[in-house]
Amino acid sequence: MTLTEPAVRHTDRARAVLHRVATDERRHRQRQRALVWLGTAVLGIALLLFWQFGLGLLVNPRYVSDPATVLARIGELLAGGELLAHLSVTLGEAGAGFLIGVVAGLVSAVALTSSRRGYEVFEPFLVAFYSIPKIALAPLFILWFGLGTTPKIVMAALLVYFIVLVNTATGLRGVQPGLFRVCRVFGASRRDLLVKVTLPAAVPAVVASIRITFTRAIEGAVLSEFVASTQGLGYLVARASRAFDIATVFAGIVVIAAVVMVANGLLRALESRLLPWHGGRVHG
Amino acid sequence: MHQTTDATTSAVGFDHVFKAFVSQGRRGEPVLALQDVAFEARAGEFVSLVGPSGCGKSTCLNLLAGLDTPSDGTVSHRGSPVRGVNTAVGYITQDDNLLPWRSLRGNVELSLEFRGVPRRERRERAQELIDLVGLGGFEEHYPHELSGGMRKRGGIIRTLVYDSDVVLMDEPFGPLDAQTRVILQAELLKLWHRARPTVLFVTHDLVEAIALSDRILVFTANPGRVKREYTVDIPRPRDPFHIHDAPGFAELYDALWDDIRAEIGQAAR
Ligand SMILES: Nc1ncnc2c1ncn2[C@@H]1O[C@H](COP(=O)(O)OP(=O)(O)O)[C@@H](O)[C@H]1O
Ligand SMILES: [Mg+2]
Repeated sequence: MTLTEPAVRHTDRARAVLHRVATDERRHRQRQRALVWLGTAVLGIALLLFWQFGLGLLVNPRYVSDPATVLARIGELLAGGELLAHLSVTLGEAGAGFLIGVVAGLVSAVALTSSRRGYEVFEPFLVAFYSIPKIALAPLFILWFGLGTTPKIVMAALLVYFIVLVNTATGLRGVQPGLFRVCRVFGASRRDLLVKVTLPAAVPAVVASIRITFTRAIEGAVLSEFVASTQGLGYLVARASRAFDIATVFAGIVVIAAVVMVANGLLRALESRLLPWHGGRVHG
Repeated sequence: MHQTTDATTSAVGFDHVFKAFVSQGRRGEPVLALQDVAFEARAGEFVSLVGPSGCGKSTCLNLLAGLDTPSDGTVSHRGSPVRGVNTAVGYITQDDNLLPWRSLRGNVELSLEFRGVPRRERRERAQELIDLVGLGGFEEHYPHELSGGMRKRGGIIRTLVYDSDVVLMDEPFGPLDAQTRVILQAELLKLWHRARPTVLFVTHDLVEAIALSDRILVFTANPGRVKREYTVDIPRPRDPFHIHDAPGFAELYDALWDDIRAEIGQAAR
């Protein structure tokens, strides 16, 4: 290990080296980013080509439609205003469920982990609830909360809640004990420890789980619309598939996938902005 | 020198201290970590604790920091028994324990924040120490952007910044390479001369113990007890880079090593 001594005076030669390294690094990063974009584009095009020409060879071509037709269908649905109406219903349900799930998950995690034994009491139940296939609950929620948006929000919130709770609790419990000991001797109060040590330490887990769960919220809303509803993307797809309107089924699926991809990209960008000390990397 | 032990100036006192731990591995059977530990440290004295691994050195520091309580006997700080977490001492561990989400400056100011020191004063006190250890210019760097030696300096000054009268150091230079260690020993001595706190310093490195200490306590193998104590008569200020040449160094080193080797043999059996 070398000790970088601060306040060195740089010679011209050293400055030139630094400059060159900085330029090389920038160019290297640009090239890497371009490669990722290129790879993504190639893969996307390959998938579309397979769909257009290959999928019909594997399954009954009557039920696969093709990208051109689906794109046209999306255009029609957009023009009619129908698509945006369904999309906004689904996003509204998913958004509400997401917010409720995240807030409830965070609060529960802090409450449960504030005492070690407390978490141990709840853990088996959390695991049990977590592992229930949520789709089994969808018909129940419809019976309990009716056909409106409530059961969709509940489903979305539920999917989000457990993931945020378990991830946050793991993050909170995983703080290095050494940090606590040192800070306690430094004079930290219980509140100081929570606000300045525990919560920041859990931030990576929390942020990662939030990113993962936004897609789960959409999944929850769509899944629940699929079971019984009168509006939303899930309804659009379910209705079309009952009518064997395959182009519309695919149009709905493509829109859902696109929304999830965009949301994921936005949240990922937010994540690296929120965690400069993490070097922008989050394991989750 | 330093022969009288005056009760009024004793900064740290271990009075027949025992500590037993109940470990989960042994079906709840308690195991003795400290057995009748007795010693004192005067105000401004630099005392090193050496002994085989597992002999209870860290436990001694934890007792004084109030992170653990003695099973029997009394641990006192400035004449009164330690009760609860002792925020009047400074504690430096082997891991630097810097908060990864705070810059160097944020880390050095942390303890002052906990203590409600106003912003301006925090800034000034942190800056003084940051400059003193040559970290000026790195204030806004995060720990992962600093070298091991720089993180270690940060870890030390963030504890010294609140000027406690007693500083506990548990193998602070353990994971560092040999050169960096010596550089940091010199810097530690510089920092110590600045405010002259009492230091309890745990180390495995006998050369380090001699270079830094007024007194060295050798512990027996587990369960730990003070086996022997040595006074280091090398005059100050000392130069850790040339401590080998100091008069009496070789004899002291050999004596310490003989003591420890006997204990390690004991522990290995
Ligand atoms: N929290 C604890 N629970 C159970 N045993 C412990 C605990 N802390 C220390 N011990 C035991 O006490 C003994 C002394 O430990 P320690 O003070 O860490 O030794 P040292 O720092 O001298 O290497 C060891 O045998 C260790 O296993
Ligand atoms: Mg130890």
